[in-house]
Amino acid sequence: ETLRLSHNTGDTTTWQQGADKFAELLAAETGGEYEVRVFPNAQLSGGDQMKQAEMTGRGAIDLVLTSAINVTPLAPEMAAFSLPYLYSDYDAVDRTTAGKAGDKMEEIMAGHGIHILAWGENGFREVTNSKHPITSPEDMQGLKMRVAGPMYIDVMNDLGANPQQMQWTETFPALQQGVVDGQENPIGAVIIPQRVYEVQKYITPWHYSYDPLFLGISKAKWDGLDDETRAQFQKAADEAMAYQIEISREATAEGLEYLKEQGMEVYEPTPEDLAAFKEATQPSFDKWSEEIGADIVKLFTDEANAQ
Amino acid sequence: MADIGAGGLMVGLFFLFLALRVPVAFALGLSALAAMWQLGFGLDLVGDLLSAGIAKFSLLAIPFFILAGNLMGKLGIADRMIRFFRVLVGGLPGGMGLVGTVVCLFWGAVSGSGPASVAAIGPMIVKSMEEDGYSRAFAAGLVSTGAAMSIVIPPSIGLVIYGVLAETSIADLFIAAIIPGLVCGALMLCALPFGRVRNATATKALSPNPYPGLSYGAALWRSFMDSFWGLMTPVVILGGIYSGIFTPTEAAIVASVYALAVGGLAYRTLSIRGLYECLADSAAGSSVVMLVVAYAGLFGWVVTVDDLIGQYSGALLGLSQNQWVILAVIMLVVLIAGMFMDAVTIMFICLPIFLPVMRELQWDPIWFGVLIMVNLAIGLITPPVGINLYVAANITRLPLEKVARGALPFLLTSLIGLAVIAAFPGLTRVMLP
Amino acid sequence: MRLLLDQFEKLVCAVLLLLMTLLGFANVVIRYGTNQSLAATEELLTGGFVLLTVFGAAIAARRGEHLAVELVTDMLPAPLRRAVIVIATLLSVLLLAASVWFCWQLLVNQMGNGMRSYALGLPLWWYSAALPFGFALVLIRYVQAALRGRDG
Ligand code: NA
Ligand code: NA
Repeated sequence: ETLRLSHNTGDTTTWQQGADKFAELLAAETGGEYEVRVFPNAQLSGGDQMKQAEMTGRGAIDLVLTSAINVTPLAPEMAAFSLPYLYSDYDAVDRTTAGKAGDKMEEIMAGHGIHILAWGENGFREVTNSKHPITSPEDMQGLKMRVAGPMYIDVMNDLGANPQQMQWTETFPALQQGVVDGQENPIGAVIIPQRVYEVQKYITPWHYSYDPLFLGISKAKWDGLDDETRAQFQKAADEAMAYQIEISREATAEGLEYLKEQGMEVYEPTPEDLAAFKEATQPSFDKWSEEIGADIVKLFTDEANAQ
Repeated sequence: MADIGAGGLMVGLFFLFLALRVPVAFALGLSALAAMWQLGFGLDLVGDLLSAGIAKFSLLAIPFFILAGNLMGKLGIADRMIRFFRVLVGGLPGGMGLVGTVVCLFWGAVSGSGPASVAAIGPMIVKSMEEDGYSRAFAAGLVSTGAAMSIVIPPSIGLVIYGVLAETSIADLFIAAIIPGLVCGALMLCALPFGRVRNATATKALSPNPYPGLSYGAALWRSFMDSFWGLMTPVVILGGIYSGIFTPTEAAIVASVYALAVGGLAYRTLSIRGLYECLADSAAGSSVVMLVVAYAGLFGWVVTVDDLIGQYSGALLGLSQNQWVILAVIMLVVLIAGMFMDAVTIMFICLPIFLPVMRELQWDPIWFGVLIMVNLAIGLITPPVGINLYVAANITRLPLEKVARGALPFLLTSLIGLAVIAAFPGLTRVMLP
Repeated sequence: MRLLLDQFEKLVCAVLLLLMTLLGFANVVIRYGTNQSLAATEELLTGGFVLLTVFGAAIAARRGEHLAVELVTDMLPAPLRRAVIVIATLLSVLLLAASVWFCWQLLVNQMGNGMRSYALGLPLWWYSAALPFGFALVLIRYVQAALRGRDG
């Protein structure tokens, strides 16, 4: 049987590599009984990145590899992952996806008809701009920032910036001509593959918000599988996403060096700088915690802050 | 392959429906639905695909540039502009055909969308070319082709997408595409001698100087002052884009507001009734195009899912070891795809197949990108799905076939342009450091 | 009342396009001139664009502006041509009816799953609510134009 897997990005990204890995492992695990055909660029949903998950939920698509931010229109609770300065490092991230917070999100997505097989990584979102190095919240004052969603609009307003929602296809020329001064995105997933360094001079890896990927299967499909096959799917998914996280973190680590070679100026914020950013964005954190639900956010903060 | 598959069925049905005089948009939709039925996959996605096909921000330039074009026509702005160009170069060989080509290329630096350009400048060019003795169909063909260069000459959304997919500098692509765009435009001039149905100089259909009694210099000054605010349109739009005040898509909105302001404040030709008709006409004109885009989205979806291009291009690429043959095959595949689908869909489907070939043969990715873009521009003027032809048919009230026939000479010059750029890769490197 | 029925889609389109123009322009002015922007402009414009497209398609359907290739039918003898035109009209009606149905399904799905829009967090079905009705109106106008009879 051939299953169709839909994901958001192009065919050279770590998303595609993770999806290909899953296809390869699943075919091996099941002795070729299940094959996966990967559709990049949200082709199955006509290019709409937000709709893939919902289509999977009602069984129109078999598998989906998407990021938490892209399913917030369907499951607003998933925004918890990207609360500003929720995470201080990768360990904190891994504790939540492996722990109660991850379980809770899996339960919520099951309610939308998607069984989450495993978590992957889109990465921490970092800020770039063409005006000046960003070392403190004051440096954000008045900068025209392209952002991708409502929470980031609030966060940018907290920092005194001037947020603007814009499609990605518009963003590159807008950055080039200076319609907007800056943008924020993960290094490995966007800033390098989308060549943002061509039109931006300064980057501050301020780790202000995180976005995980997940590999999900339509619940209808999942419920129809026997236990043995389920175990094979699970094994393939776990290994494929572990691999995706590994290559994504490598790409990010090497990414800053690469961006320097491309002429970007990197400002590595000190712990004091980060504390200042965190404090400045607290109002958004509180507002969105309330929106998401205090009990859910507590699951995240408990595990993120556990040592 | 024993049977033709869902994709083959779809293409066959599409032509059948077209022959039966089903509107192109509906023929696309019907054949795609039949293919989904055959595939047993996709029918429960149709509603989402239709709405996603329309709800694309980059297409939003279409209704606004149509509105701007309509307003400029209705409020007399276009007339005055054309009068100036008539005095300026209308006396040279080619007359208004030359003027129209130049205006199209100039507008390419303003607009990133082919159909939006036809809508914005088409009405005034076609009208004045007709007065100069050209046939209306020929003029519509010229505008369709000249406006297609909007996706080659920067700003170009197509080149942005190519740059990302091919991991190539977008800024370099923008610069590299300028000369090839101008080359294609210059080649268009070769077709001009074949477009006049009346001998303009004999009938005095259009005198280069519409101000009797005034000398060239005085007439030029007079027409310049008359059309000053209209002539400022590209200046305002280009200035706004290149100084970072608005994006290329927003430029279409600004152009509409600017036309309203000039008509309302400077020329005082704006009326409530006129505005109402203009708004409704623009919505209808944009919808004729957008309905084709929406149903073509279903069609393109089936092409993707059934892997129609992958199946056949794989076999075609295996035909030869000669890289020029391979390039010709790739260009042919894009040309054929361009007959049915929009540029963005084609890039997403074809480039993952062609880019590895490009790297394998060590072709210059910038040159290859420009070639693809010129080829996709040609797709805007090839029937049965040539969006620029549709807009031109809509604004000139001509049947689609007539416009397509009018565009035929320019299709040939564009194919020659494509061959020239393929043969001389240096053309893309002239302006690059 | 008759005027309203007659001009319904034209009125909708004119008001919609004017509002979209003003909103888009206001965003540019405010973003450039102040430290603010109407951050969700894009979502509203895109939502409006979908409505504009279906209702504009109704205007075009009524005027018989949806482009068809007449090359083949023009070569047929008159009675056969008439028959072909009837078939083409029925096929078009079939597609439009299917579009109404599929957009209705979209609406029902969106009302059921509670999806919200990305920028403003509005129920997504608000943006799709007019789609099935829009396509239904296109169908009606298309049939009206066909009954009124074109040159045939
Ligand atoms: Na352009
Ligand atoms: Na075409």
